[in-house]
Amino acid sequence: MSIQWYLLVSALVFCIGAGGILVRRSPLVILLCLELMLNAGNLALVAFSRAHGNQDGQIFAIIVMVVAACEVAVGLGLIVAIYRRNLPVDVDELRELQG
Amino acid sequence: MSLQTLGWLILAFPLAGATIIGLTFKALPDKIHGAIGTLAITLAFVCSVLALLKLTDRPQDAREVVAHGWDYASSVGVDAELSLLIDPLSLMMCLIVSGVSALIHLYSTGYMASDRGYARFFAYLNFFVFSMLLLVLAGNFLVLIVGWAFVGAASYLLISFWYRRTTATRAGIKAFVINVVGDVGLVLGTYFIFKHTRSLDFLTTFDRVDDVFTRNQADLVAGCVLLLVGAFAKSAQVPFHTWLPDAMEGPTPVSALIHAATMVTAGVYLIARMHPLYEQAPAAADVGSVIGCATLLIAATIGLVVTDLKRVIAYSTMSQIGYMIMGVSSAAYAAGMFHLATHAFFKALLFMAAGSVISAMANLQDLDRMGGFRKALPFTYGCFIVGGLALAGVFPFSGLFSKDEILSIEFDRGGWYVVLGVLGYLGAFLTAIYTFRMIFRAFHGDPVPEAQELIDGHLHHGDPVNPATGEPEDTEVGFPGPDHHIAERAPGMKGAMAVLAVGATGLGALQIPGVTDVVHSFLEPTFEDSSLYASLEPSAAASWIGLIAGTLIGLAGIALAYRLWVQQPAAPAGLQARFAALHRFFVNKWYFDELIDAVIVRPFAWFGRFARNTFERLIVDGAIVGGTSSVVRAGSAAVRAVQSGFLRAYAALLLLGLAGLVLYFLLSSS
Amino acid sequence: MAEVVFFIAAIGAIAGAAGTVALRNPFFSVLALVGHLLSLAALFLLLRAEFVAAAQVVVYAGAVMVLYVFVAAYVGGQDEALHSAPGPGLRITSAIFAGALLVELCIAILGTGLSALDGDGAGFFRAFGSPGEIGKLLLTDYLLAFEVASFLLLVAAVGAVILARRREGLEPAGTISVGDLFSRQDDVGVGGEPEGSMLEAEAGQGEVRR
Repeated sequence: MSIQWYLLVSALVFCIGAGGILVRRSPLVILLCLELMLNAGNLALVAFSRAHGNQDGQIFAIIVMVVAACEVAVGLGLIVAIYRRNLPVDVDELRELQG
Repeated sequence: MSLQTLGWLILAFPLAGATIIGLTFKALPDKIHGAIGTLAITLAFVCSVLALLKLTDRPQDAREVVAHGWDYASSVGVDAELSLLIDPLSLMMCLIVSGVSALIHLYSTGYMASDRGYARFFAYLNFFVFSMLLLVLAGNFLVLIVGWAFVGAASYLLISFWYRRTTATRAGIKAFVINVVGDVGLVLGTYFIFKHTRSLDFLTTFDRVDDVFTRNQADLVAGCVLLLVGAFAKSAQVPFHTWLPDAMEGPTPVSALIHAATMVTAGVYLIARMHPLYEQAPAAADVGSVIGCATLLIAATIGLVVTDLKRVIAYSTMSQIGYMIMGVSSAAYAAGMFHLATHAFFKALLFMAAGSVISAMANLQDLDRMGGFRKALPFTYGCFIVGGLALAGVFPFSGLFSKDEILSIEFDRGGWYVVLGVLGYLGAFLTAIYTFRMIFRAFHGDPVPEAQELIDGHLHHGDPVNPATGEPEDTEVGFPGPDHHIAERAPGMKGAMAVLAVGATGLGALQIPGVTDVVHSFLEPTFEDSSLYASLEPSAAASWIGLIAGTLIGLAGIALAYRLWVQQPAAPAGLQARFAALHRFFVNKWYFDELIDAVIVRPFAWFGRFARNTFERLIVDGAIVGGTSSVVRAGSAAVRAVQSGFLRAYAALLLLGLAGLVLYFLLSSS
Repeated sequence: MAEVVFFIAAIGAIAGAAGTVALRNPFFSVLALVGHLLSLAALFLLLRAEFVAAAQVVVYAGAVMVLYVFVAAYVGGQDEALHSAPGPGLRITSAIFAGALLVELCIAILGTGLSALDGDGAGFFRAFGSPGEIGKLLLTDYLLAFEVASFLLLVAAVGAVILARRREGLEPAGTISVGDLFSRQDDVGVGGEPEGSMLEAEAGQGEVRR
């Protein structure tokens, strides 16, 4: 399969994830959609790595995975803290950082 | 010591005195301050005398000396520099100013002795003397204007010296505002003249006048008339005279120094100094003569009816300065300056004596409440008589010689100036009447309670109440302290008044027609470029006829006053009833105050209110300031709306940005 | 053969993605994402990235998703409220934005400008993508990235623990606001209030803090 197919899949998943962020209200699901976008990026990286015959893209993908894991940990910690304080777990309600 | 150095020293001593007193006003006791002030002026007088001696050592044609300090602006085409002109005219003024000031300082050490603002008084007084000396010693228009303005400021400071009195502060502001009008006239006049002569320096300007201006050229006449405006505002001539009677709110030494002897004579000095300009623009000079004559009559009529002791003397000042202005405008320069000198002596004497009487009356100045002080204040009475005779113009007192010389020159000039001369004699008659009216009312007749107390041996002390408004005085600020000082008991006052009395009596000897010619010949180097100065020499016979006529008129006035106020005390009331309308007109000062109020003050006040309510509020605050700030606020509110706090809105914006970025790269690579 | 596997994995990935976005219950979304991740691992294998695929399965689908499952069980068990579901405006806007992005990317990918994408790719050697090769690269060329990544993991772990810990000696949970996350222990002074006015309290605290 030529690389274009993988890139198409990546683009499609990325856009689905982006749309999901805009549409969903629960921060948990928004984080999930963020995962989608990250994974799409990963796929593109590995695809290009295969295209160039270079393993750098795969290294990059591993690091991205590490970063995603960290971000998930912190984000979920935040969600747990919010829930613990009996605040609504809903991004439309949590809007104190406004001008 | 050269003449220039002496000139700078004459200025330096009063300035140093003012500065030292001002800086140490809490550190040193009051007496020291009085001594410093008096010493400073005395030293200035000594330097003036030395300068006089040095100047007379020089030959006649080398008696105009310029002392150059430094240049202010040498490249702008304006020769602005700090320079003094030391010549007979300025030295004469220096001698008069420093001499009379020294005596008044001596008087003040006694008169103001228990005042809380003693040090402040002497600092202001020294500053005033410095300003006046700067004015008369000025060598160019710039320094003249600076001295002019300083003198106005010093006058304001001293009139409102007892600053908790509303009447005093109001009078000070009135004087200052009218003086500022004069300042504007002075500056504009300078501009008109500078426009053609292209020089601010006096000697250079005077040299160029005949070449640059034709006779009665419009710019020159305009410039000279504007200079006259300045002179009239400073010398209290009609219509800028309304501040002088109100200026009597200041302490008596201030009235004696500023509003009798020195500051109000600055206008006379100005016209005498600018004589080349006025001789080239006779139209302006004629304006001066007419206004001077009008003032002397108007002031004399008002002096006949006012009942405030100091205000009578103030109107007499206005009247006598009218004589001087009339004189110097009609080219009687030496006579006008001589009258300035004699007037300084006898007017200061009169004011000092009036101060003594007012102290005895516990600061009441109302003639209606005074009477019979002859036994209680003999020395003061003597001084009043000497000063009054000099003012009325009786032989052999000095006032006769100076005043009548002016009038005889008027007659000598001929033409319509004769009318001025006749009116001058009428004014002399009225002068004698009101002067002795004042003296007879205050000193003759039965002693009033205050006088009786003094005869019994103690000074009267009243409640500290402002006689004009009845409001209680703030004795903390130093409104005349608990002790009142009369001449008989204060040696400083007595000494100063004695010296002035001698001068008022004997100064006439300087210019006896046909015998001595001191003033006229002394001033000749200054006026040698004047064609009229040398030519206007009335014959000795004509002058003596004038002197005799003047004496007779003066004596007639005194006799009439005696009849009305000593022999038939009920007669004045009857006269007043018969001429009630005229009396009311005079008492209201010819309604000048009301006229100025209606024509100038009210429109300006209306304009100020309009500017504040409409223009300032709507346009500046509303449109310009408010508009700008509301535009900024609206803009920032619009920008702030982006920060809504909605996560999804931020995400949407991010996505939009990303799409835009990709689009850009897509387009740029294709 | 490879094409078939590719299409199966691709459809699995896209379906998982769609499911993550569309399913109402967060728990089901998590499961959909797991499916998506496994499909992606298959795609990685097709691209001869064995180590990455293994890491994806073990780390991502294994550890990270387990975290999600735990938190979904603790927190997000309820369905989303219906009363303020995103209005049609927001749906359309997001569709437009995402669709625009997709179109652009497709143009970029399929356009003739990216000729290098055609074809199967460069040649590769036998150990391409194997753990040995990856490990060699991680420890030589990309050592800094490796170390920084490990440091980042440490920081994230510590941070997550601090963020979510329960703090002792405080008033009952109903009286604390978001601001307490960042305040000192003795700063809290809000009295007991029902949840409805919590926002005002937190808004007030937030104003002060600003």
